[in-house]
Amino acid sequence: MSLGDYLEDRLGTRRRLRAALAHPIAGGPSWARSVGFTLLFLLVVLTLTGIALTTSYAPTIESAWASVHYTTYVMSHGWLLRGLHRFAAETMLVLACAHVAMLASGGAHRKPREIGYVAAVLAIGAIAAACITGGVLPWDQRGYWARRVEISIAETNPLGSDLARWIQGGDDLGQLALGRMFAAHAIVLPLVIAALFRLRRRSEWTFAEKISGRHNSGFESYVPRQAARDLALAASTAILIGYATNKFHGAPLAAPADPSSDFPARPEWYLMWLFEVRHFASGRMEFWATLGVPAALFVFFAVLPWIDRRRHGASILGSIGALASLVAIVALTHAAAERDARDVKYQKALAESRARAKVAIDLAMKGVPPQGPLAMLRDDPELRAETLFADRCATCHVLGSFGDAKKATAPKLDGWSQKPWLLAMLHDPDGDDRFGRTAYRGEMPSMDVAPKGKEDFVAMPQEDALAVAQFLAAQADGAATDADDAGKKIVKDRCTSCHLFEGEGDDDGSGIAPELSGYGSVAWIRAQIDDPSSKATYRENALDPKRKRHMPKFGGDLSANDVDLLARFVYAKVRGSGLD
Amino acid sequence: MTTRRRVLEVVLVSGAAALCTAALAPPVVFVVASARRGPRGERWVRTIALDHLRDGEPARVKIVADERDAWKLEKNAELGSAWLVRAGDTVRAYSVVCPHLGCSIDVAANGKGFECPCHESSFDESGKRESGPSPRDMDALATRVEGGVVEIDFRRFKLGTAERSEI
Repeated sequence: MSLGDYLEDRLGTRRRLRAALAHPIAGGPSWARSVGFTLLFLLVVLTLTGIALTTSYAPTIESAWASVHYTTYVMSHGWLLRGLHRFAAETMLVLACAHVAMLASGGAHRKPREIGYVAAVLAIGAIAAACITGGVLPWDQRGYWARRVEISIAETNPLGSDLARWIQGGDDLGQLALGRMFAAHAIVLPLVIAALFRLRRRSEWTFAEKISGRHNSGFESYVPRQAARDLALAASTAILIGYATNKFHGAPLAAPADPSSDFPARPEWYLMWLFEVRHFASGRMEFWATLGVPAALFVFFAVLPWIDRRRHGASILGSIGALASLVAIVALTHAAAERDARDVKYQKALAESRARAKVAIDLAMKGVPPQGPLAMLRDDPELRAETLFADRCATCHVLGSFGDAKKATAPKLDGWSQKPWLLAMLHDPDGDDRFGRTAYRGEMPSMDVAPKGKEDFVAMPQEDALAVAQFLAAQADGAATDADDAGKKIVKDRCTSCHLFEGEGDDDGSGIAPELSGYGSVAWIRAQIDDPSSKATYRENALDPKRKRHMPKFGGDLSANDVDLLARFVYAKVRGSGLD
Repeated sequence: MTTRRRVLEVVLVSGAAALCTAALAPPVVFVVASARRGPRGERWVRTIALDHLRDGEPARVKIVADERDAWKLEKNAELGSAWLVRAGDTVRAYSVVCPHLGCSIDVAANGKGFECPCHESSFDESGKRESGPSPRDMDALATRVEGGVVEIDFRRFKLGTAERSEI
């Protein structure tokens, strides 16, 4: 006994398979039915890739992004799996809409097929819900902010705000929300979609059996013509998905979701038409525009079997509805894309978020701490120093790409304490990049330009200026200098009339010029950031409130670690190099 | 006979339905009864030294405080941000959360006031609504200066309503 006979004997396999393939189809072969078959094929693809993806996904706020990152960039073929899953899902959404449009316009919604037809309409809702819940699972900026806005729209519903709380499982888009979205995406919605597909097939088969029984002859079976079309369409779709996956190299991953950041929230492309609809409504109407319009469309197609008066042939009402929705959705999507393409600020924010994503993705290649990717970004020395500098220092100083030269009220730091800068300082302290825009303007005299009305001024010889610059630059670099260094001698003789050197100065301590030993070194910068009035750099009067826009004291406000990090960062960036 | 059979059928079907309901009820109740926290009330968060703010120039500061999210208690979590605007010795603070749909409000492209990057609501320097879909002004937060450091009473508000109510 062959295996086939064995199974036939116990499970009726062969008989059932034959019956299925020979099953009559209503109205002859059609492409609309092939779209239905392709949807089933996509459900299988999504289930398989989805199951594979769950093996390396962790649905917690701390782990979600890191696990998706690992899947995509570290695991072999992870990108392929995510790409197939993504493109299969988006294709499924588009085809489900096409399917309903074809059924509604072709008249396949009429009695007694209406339950199967409504199942197809409901499947669009379930598939869209699966796409939306799936988009948040990587817990990246894109998904997080898109969902945050969508849940806010739900919150503004006229019936009260419990809807948002129910979706989120709490007051915020946090851990419980992610858990719910994961359960819905990976378990509930696939089951609902499969159940709707089954319902639809049951309805179609019952219908086909009924009319084939009535006519009895000349009824076509599933094999071969419909089966050939089904396979052809499913195979073309599979090739398309494979091509898209390869071309776009899988699915994107934005920077980790950061509730304290600003991100220009946009929905996924298939919801952009609703984003555009919003522009036509204001106030209370907004809710109706963003949720009411799709709901109305949905209801229209769902009740079509009962409002369509025409009994036979193609449905005029269904065709008009399908065509009008298609034109409106395409036009609105196009308008939304145009609007964003023109929006300079949005494009800039998008470029920034892409750069941020790249930084996070690169950094995560070394592994993500259990506290999550935000902690990883926060504690990375280079990134932390950049953020600190941008927030605290760049409001007054310019350094590299940080700060705005037009708004600067403190010296430009590029090349600061280096030889060319020191020479420029000795010659023209009030240059725009030096004291010119600061609280110290006019405080330091030039060493080689006579002040007005001072006839007996003796300019510092060029070689002396060079020696001083050389000596001070060596102080910044921490290089050793000879005890009888010419520059050191001049500094001690001439500069200490205003400056301190190794804590000593010629004035009574009331001067404002800073300490020159170690000037520009990490220790000097650290002391200056920590407290500019400690005498290690400037003195008590550096914080005189009358001296507007003086450098503030950061010690106490920033931790000692942060001050040290900033000092090392400035030291490195002054020299145009990276941290450490 | 038929009546007895019918009664038996009804009893069996309702029994099966009751059994299904019994199996379904606990998970449904669990999922529907979501965590409700209610207004949190006063929460003062230290931000930045007053000295580090420039008069009239909005500065964005992160709100760092302990946060409970479900089972997790995170020390020094970044909860969100606020805009600070200094005027002499006082500071005004505004939540960055747009009252419209919760995007993060940024300073306006022209440098005057604020605007939301998602739906183009714009606000003037004092957070007053100027145009766009936002139903109310930016949410002002109470501030105080303690030991030279600006502290903010960080709260969250319901979105999309003209009247502001805390959540």
